[in-house]
Amino acid sequence: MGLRDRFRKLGADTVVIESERLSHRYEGVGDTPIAEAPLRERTRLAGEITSIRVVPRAGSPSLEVTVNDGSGTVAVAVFTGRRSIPGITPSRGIVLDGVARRERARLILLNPAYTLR
Amino acid sequence: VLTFAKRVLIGRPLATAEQEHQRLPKTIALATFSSDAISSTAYATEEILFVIAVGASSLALGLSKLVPIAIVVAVLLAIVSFSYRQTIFAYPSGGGSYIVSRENLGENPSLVAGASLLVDYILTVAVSISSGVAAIISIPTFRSFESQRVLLCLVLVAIVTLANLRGIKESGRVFAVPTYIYVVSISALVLYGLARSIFGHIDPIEFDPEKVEHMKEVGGSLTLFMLARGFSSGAVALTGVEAISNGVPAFRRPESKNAATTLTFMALILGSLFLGLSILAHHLHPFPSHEETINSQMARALFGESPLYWIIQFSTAGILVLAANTAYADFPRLSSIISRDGYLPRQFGNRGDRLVFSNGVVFLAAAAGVLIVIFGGITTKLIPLYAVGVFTSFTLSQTGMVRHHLKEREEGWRVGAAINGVGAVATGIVTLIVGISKFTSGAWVVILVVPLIILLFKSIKRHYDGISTRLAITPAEVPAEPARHTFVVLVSRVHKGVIEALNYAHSLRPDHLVALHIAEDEGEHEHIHRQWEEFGFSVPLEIIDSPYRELIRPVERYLDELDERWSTDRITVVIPEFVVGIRSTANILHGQSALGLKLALLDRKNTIVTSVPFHVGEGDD
Repeated sequence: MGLRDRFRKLGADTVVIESERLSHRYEGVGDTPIAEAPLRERTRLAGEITSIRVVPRAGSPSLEVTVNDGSGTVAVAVFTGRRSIPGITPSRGIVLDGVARRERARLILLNPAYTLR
Repeated sequence: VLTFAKRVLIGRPLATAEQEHQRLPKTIALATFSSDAISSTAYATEEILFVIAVGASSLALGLSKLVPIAIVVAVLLAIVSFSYRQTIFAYPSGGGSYIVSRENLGENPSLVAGASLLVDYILTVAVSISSGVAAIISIPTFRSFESQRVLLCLVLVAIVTLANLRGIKESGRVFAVPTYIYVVSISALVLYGLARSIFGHIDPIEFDPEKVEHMKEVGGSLTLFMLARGFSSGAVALTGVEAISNGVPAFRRPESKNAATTLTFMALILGSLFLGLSILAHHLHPFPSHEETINSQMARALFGESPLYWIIQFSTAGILVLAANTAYADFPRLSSIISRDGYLPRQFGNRGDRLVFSNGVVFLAAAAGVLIVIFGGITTKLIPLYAVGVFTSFTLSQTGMVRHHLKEREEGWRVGAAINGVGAVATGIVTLIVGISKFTSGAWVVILVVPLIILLFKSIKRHYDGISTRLAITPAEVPAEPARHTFVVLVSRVHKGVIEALNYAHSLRPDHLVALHIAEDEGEHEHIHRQWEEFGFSVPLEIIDSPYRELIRPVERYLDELDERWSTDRITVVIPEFVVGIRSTANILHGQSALGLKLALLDRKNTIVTSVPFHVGEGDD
């Protein structure tokens, strides 16, 4: 890292620091970075869980898990019928295996197979 | 506790309706409005002598030029007073330099006048107070306080400031007393001294070369430039002449006529006292020094250390404090007018508990205090800064009056225009002389500061104008109500306050409602996750990881995301806060993170922050 980079980094937002850390860590773990993932075919994506969304008891239960690998796009894994999954908590690494579709700036994977890392 | 201290020092708050308008008879008005002008006799003669005697490095040569310079100053005083009589009739509602130039000359000249007047009022306080202290420590008994000069000055400033924060009436009858005592006792000094020098014989004050460095009794030479500088110092005698024209509404009917008469009397008193003191100095040969004022030297030579001498010294200090006090009336008033025009922060226009413009008073006191400290409370060092501003505002005011006559063409406008024209030219020339001859000895400060103040005025105005253009709206521009509403309730852990906040958010029937938890570590978010299940809330909970243990940034990022997802929504962030009582010291036990979050979100567009308090009630547990 050059001196200039170091300097730039001092003032950087934690978002920038975080993406650098994530892309460094998850590069090559999945088939592709999330930003370049192919749509409507099976793919393996890896990243860190940044947030989970617990849907209330009324209505159909589901758990939405947001996964980020620092590539600029986040993947959201939706587990229908589940209210919580042991081991799936924010800040854990995860590898998702499933079919992605795009919804606005995010990728949605419905009930993917997953491996905790 | 703070309120109590404030009440004791300043007094109970007054309602707006309690403001009174007192009308003054001429005798009282003369004393209240002229204390500033007449008090300058306490130092004007001395200041001339300081420059020409020291400049010529000879007391005799300096003294020989004292009276001619004093006569020129007196003539100038006559011209200026005549000019101000015109202003009094043209602006019966009070026509300070700022108002006259604003109405006749336009924005820039009025700002120059405003800025130089503000600087001037600050200097009036600094000069008058340090000169008053000089009068006291001139008394041999109090000579030992010399080293405490600055401290004494600051104490006096503090007293006057406090009195003004209480809302002292500038029209108070009490104020007339020191002024009249001063006028009478100085007149006695002048008359007795002159009578003795004409009909009898008085010995000059003994010259003590040790006391006055670089100065001989005879010899030396005096350049024209030195004379100009001496004249510039003497011109400070004119400061405060404008006071009456500012305060015309305070006179009894017919206001203008009474004010004009009072002005004439004031000019006569000022002129004759000043000339008299200068002639007396010519006979008595006092030597200027920082230790004892020449007025004190002369009074002591004539009366010895009799009660009369003490009366002269104390009334001198008294009238000088009153002179400072007039600045305390004028500065806040002028700054409030300027701030109403949008050139100064609006706070200068706010009246405090006691109906005075407290912010102006405090600002003036602080500025004068700084000046006194910088210049060590020595009048002579402050004088060069003083006269430039005074004469700049005189010149602008007179020029404005000429324009006024040309515009109005009222009866006798030619005479009026001529009088003000002469006034404008004379004061303009004096401004130049003062500015040039005193440039190196201190006038440069003012010449530098005034433009800076004007720049400040303008940038403040630009800001206010910009804001009001952006806030302005016409009926055609009223936007449609935003269709939808999202509520985000921040949850740190499940407690009573959170339930309160969730219920509140529900009651407003938002289109989207989410609970947001920012998690720092795994244990924490597992815990909240479980609790959410347990309570069975009908609100979805979003748990966001904060790997860098921040609070504000993740919230902001989440809100950005919501903005994108539901772009037509307005977002309300609900912060449940438990309150232990605003005054409770237990507050330091709580992180106050909500406060920082509120401040950060205030800066966000399209976002409303709501606090839902939950009163814990201290001591219940």
